[in-house]
Amino acid sequence: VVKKEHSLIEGLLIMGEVAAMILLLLALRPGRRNGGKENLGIFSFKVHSSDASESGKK
Amino acid sequence: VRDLMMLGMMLVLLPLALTNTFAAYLLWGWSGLFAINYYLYGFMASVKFVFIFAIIALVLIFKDKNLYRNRFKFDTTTILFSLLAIHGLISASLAYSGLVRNWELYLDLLKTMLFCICMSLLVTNRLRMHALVIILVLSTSFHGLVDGLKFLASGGSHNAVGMPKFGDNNHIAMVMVMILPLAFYLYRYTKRRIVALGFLGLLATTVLAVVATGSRGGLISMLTLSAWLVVTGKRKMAGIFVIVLCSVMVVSLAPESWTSRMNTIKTAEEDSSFLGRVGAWKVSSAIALSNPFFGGGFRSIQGIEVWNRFKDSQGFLGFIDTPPVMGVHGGGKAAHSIYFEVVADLGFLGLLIYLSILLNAFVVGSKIKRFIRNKGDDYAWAYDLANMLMGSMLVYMVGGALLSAAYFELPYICTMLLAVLFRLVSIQESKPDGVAQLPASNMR
Repeated sequence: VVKKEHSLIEGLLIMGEVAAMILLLLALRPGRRNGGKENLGIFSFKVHSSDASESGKK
Repeated sequence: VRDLMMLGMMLVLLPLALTNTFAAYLLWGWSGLFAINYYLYGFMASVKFVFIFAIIALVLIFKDKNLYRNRFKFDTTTILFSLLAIHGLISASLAYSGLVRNWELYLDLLKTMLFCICMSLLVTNRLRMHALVIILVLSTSFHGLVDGLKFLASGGSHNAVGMPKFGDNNHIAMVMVMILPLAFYLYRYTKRRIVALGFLGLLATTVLAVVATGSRGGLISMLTLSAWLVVTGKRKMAGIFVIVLCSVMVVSLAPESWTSRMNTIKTAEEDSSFLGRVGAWKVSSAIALSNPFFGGGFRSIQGIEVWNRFKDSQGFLGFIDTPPVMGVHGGGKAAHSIYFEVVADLGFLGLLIYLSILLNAFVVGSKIKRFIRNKGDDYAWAYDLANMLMGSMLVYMVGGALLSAAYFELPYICTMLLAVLFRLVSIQESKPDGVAQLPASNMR
């Protein structure tokens, strides 16, 4: 039987997880602000692993 | 309070899903792996999050005829998945009576197949592939984050016991190790430093969570992954250095009970736990020999009648001496291996399809790597992602050899991700501007 552990920190982590998901989905909405294109917002990616060049917009 | 906050979050997530097919699809995958119900105890605990998001995604997909008419293509992966789904249907229909989870597991497998098929329709460019990898890592490593932090806070005495979604400590350890390569990929390719460090933090706490499970299979999985990364990585010495450093950290953090349990790996042939697994493999192989084409049905070994009929059979492993196998609570026993689980449930024909799926992941991954080798930095992300997905699959194939996890969704998702990545890379190659995007009527 798996023991369910209540904790404030666990609750906060869950909300953080859901908030991260909401941020990602909001960024993905093709809106006027990003020229009608999908975006990853704070989760944008680098084109190359070694640099900090453009990414996350298509 | 947690339930009320979740209700509030749902009021934000639902409109996002209803207005964007891809967002609904991501939420479907995320809610499936996150298993949020496990963390809720009030009125929201009974809400079927996965079902809701899956229905929204499927309705939006089927509403857009152009989407599935233009984008769906049969390739080796989709053919093998379809074959497994059809074969599973026959096996479940012809199953022994009294198998409690027969249809439940088949339907779970079918849902996984459906999710993977939809991936080929919706993941149409690098951005979307990156988004899908993010939700896989966020959802799966969340459990690692929670257990890893508890392990740290308790000074190494917290035991991660697993959860209903994934199974016991051994299952969750394998799942955690499978997600590590993808977390590492996100760390390397995320543009914002703070977010990249966040993924690194997830990776570190997930490693601690694997230690917290006290699973010997988890340790073997981590060693397998380390070996894969060193063998396939470009900076081998740096890789070895990081792995040694991490090992020293893990051993110094882990309690003495963990070290002594891991030492029992050396004496596996005398270990009653290991011999019990070999006993279960004998029973599984005996079921398969009796039903070579379609097996005994899903989780047939756990059916009481099936167990009693085959418990003394040696199958094709009679050459190994084992003590008599004992069932659990008068019933059957878990198969304790993805390979023996499939051969008992789906027969040798099912095993052939299943092994073809696993092998296909490596064939596709190798094709991607061969295809883009020496093509410059523009393709490096695809090379690295293919390598990391292959690492996850290797962990599954090695770690799963001692676990009943044949129908768990992550390996199928990784396999389909490789197939979609191959399509993207092939198209990128043919496009002069180098922007990978699958043909689409629109970008929903």
